[in-house]
Amino acid sequence: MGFRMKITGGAEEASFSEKSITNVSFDSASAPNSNARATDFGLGVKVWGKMLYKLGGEGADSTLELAKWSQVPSEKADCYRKAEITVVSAGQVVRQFVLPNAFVVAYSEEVDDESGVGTFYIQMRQKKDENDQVNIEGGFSGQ
Amino acid sequence: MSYRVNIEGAESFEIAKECVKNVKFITDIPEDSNARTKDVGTTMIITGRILTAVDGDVFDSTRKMALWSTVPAESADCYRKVTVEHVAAGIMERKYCFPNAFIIDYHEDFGVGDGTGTFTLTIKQKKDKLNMVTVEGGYPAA
Repeated sequence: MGFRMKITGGAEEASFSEKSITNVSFDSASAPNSNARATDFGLGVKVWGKMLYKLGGEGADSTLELAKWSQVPSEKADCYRKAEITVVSAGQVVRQFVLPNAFVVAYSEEVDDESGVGTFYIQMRQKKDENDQVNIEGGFSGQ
Repeated sequence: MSYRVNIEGAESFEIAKECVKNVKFITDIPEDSNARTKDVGTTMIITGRILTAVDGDVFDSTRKMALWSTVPAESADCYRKVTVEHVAAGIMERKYCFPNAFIIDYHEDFGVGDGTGTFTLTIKQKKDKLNMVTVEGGYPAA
């Protein structure tokens, strides 16, 4: 089972392959004490992965773009970006989540002197009033 | 022992018994009540696997739950009929039916350490329709 993520809409595109992403979690959440279906619900994706540095400094380090994105102030248009997360298994796209107006809710990265690579965690959420733009595909072939 | 979960609405689907792992039925009663409360709700939490179809099997229906979880409150389709049947040794041990269920939470988790994803679906019966919930059991399964 492999995961890919592509963030577009910023200064640079950030893309991650199955080599770096380790966990993906999709959440659709509303208030737990609601008596009926809530209008106020959030849609988001959490992604965990490894920070892989390019050998010889070749190519772009995509985690750098994530760290920069998490610092973009809300006045700027590019604080909202398009996030596309794909789950692939056995020649099939099991899920493809597309959040066209995603913003960063949480971002962290850490490196220590033991493991050799760092890890990052990003939580993205679709702008709530644009929830109907979220696309969840899956169940078609692809690699 | 297996669970069969049926969801009926604008689009009806069944979550395969290979997928469903765990079903939890909860009656929500305020714990600080001095006498029998009027404020009773009921919740069901269903967890299971997200399987990849191989050898031309039908595609996994779990994605339809993800789509249901994005239906806004303004749409009539956000309420669906959920039936859960628990059959063990030819006996229908439990049959829960929430005719007006809505989604509280829906989560999907995927990791590199396991070959399948997992889902967690938390639903409630619309509170003013609580008397429509049925819990049956103890008869031979058809």
